[in-house]
Amino acid sequence: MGKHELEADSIIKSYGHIKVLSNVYLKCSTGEVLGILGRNGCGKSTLLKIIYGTEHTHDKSIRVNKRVYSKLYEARGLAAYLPQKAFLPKGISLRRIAAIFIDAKDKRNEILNDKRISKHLNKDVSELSGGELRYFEVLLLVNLPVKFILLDEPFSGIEPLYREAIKELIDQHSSGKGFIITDHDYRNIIEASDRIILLTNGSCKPIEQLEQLEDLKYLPVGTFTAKTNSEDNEISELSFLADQQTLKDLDLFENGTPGSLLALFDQVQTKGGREVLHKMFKTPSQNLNVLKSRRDSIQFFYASKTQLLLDSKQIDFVEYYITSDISISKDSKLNSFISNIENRYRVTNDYYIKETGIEKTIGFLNYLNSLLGEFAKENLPMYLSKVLYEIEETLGKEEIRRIRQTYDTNSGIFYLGKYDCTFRKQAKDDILFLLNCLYELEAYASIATAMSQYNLVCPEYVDSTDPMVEIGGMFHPSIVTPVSNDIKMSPAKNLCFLTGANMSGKSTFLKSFGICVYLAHLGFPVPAKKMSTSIFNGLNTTINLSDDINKGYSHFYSEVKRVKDAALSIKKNNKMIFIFDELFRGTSVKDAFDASFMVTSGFLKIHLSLFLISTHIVEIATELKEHENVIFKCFQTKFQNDMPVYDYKLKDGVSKESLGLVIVKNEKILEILKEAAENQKRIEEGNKNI
Amino acid sequence: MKLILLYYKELHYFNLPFSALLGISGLAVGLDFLSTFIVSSITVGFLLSVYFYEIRYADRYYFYFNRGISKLKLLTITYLIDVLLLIFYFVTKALV
Repeated sequence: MGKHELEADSIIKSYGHIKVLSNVYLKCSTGEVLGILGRNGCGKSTLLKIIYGTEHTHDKSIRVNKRVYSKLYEARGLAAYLPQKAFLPKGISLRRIAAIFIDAKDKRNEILNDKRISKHLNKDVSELSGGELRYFEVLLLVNLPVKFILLDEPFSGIEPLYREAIKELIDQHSSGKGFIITDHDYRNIIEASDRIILLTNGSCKPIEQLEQLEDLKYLPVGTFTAKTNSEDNEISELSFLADQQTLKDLDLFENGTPGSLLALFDQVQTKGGREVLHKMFKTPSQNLNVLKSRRDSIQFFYASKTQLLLDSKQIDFVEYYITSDISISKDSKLNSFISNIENRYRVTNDYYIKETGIEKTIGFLNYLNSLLGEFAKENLPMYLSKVLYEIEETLGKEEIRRIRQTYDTNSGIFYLGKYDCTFRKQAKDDILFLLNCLYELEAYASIATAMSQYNLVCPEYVDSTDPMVEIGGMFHPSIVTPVSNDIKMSPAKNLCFLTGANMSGKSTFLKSFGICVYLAHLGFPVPAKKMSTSIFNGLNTTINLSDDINKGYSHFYSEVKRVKDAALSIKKNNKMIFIFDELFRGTSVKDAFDASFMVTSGFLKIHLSLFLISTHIVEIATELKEHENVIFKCFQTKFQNDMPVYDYKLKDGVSKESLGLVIVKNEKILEILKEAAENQKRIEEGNKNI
Repeated sequence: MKLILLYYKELHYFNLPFSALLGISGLAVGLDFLSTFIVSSITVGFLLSVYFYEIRYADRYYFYFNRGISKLKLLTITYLIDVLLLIFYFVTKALV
């Protein structure tokens, strides 16, 4: 099946004097899911309707495979649209709707045999819950023989189970169709989409990294990025400083995508658990008590091999129910009875959420109670004892205890109002507290699982004013068969001067060190056999620095700014760790030598911070030898059959090996250029003969 | 055609009772019930049905749009069915 391309170009739309869309351009191909995010009233639905052709504007150019269409919906086989509100006619069965709406027999059978719909085929549309109806609508649309599907708020106001089901549908059909989806539920849009654009100030801004959503003020700061001191005064005094460049250098998190460090630890099942884990990961701390509590809790889960057998769908539904904004029922037997009769044969979406939410909340409370029994057998660390005690206290509160004891599935006839009122009004904070406790436990269990899988170890904290880090058997957790190394730094040896040939492992070593330090300041296990560290104010790395076109900074000037920031940071905070990979690589050799030597000499006067500097300018080592607080480390390379062989083992001393030219020669670049020149010569001669 | 008949049915949930009511009201002033009923169903009854459908069920048009049927096509064919019924009625009446 060939690729098809939908382009919406030059779209302008105004309501009165207010311009909602100004020169919008977007493109979507088949096989792609394009997510559109934007604030209320920014014109998302208007844009989709204009593309589909049901909203009029003079200024637009809608093209499919370069052919212009004024009304996409009138050209059969091109596009389908899911409006915000239900669009199916009422008064006829689902089976009949499928028969009328879908011509192809195989597609119709696919719908009739769908596991979520097959049991409702003889029901009227009005008898479905909100989630079932939305799912059925999307199911119908994805089975139409169209190339593009526009979905306007497919996840809005429906229960979590069906949100997941709709995402599954999109995923299943995205290989042959192009999807454009928009919703306020940004998390589900991000999860479902291959590409995101943000509709803001009337135009589309492509989102390359999720952090841009914060920069563009669509989401609050801290949703995807770590909060820095200035952004969160509450945690400022005790938060560990790590700027954006550092987070990027260490590949800490890219929204939990595979390959990032966060993805290694992210083995949670519930959405809330994932949020807690991500929040923990983004808030490194200097608070020794917090770090020790977290470390001991993780160590407990690791040592006791305790697993939380969670029903994630149940837990997600409980949170959805407790925080939903549907009206709270009155605590009245008569109202409950009337409501039960009204919903006996045609269950409304709100009633379904309440009834199921109550059942799942009771299940959740009973699960927590059983969990207390399991933990009671073990030798708990202080912090976990406190958390479990608080769970026990909350579960024992009169209103919660009474419902747990008296609830059975039939009691909802008269008591649904009472249960709903208790769970979502009187005991709402308690239930949310219990959910948060469970999420925290789940996050610890997830980290402990990763600890076991990747052979990590919990760090030891040294309560000392002197900065020190000692790591034995340190490795990079993303490498399949890593080589481990040892390193020890203290005020007496606080500058590590690292040398080695290209590809010998310098950058990986520096990243591993940075990762260990960052994880230790989270209270997380580290990729090493053992680690002792004092508490630092922050970590600052310069490993993968690039130029900044937006600010007009060249690569070299970016490096200079970075070193200046480091100097300012030392002035403000005493105990920092700085990592520089190939300092001043963006300038001439002479300038790089002079600048590197000058800055390194400056660093040597700072004894309360640690510095790791790698460089190819080994001549600086001669100048630094007289300083006692420098440790010289290097990675050496051997040659076998003219090919470099790396052992990636850190050794004392300075490596003067230069392999750059050998690597270039081994890649046979000169031979390729020679062949290219000969080819060109032949072509030129051929042209002359003609 | 099944889709258009479904729309016809939906539109006439209002049109038929309304026109029947006008037909009954017409009896009071000496008009023929069936004539009043049929004339109403292609004039004021039809217009009001479209108006109310537009007000209450605007999103349901997407059911038809998604199958490539425009609003104009729906209304034209639905109206033509009513007009044909009217012609059929008057022709039959004239012949009888």
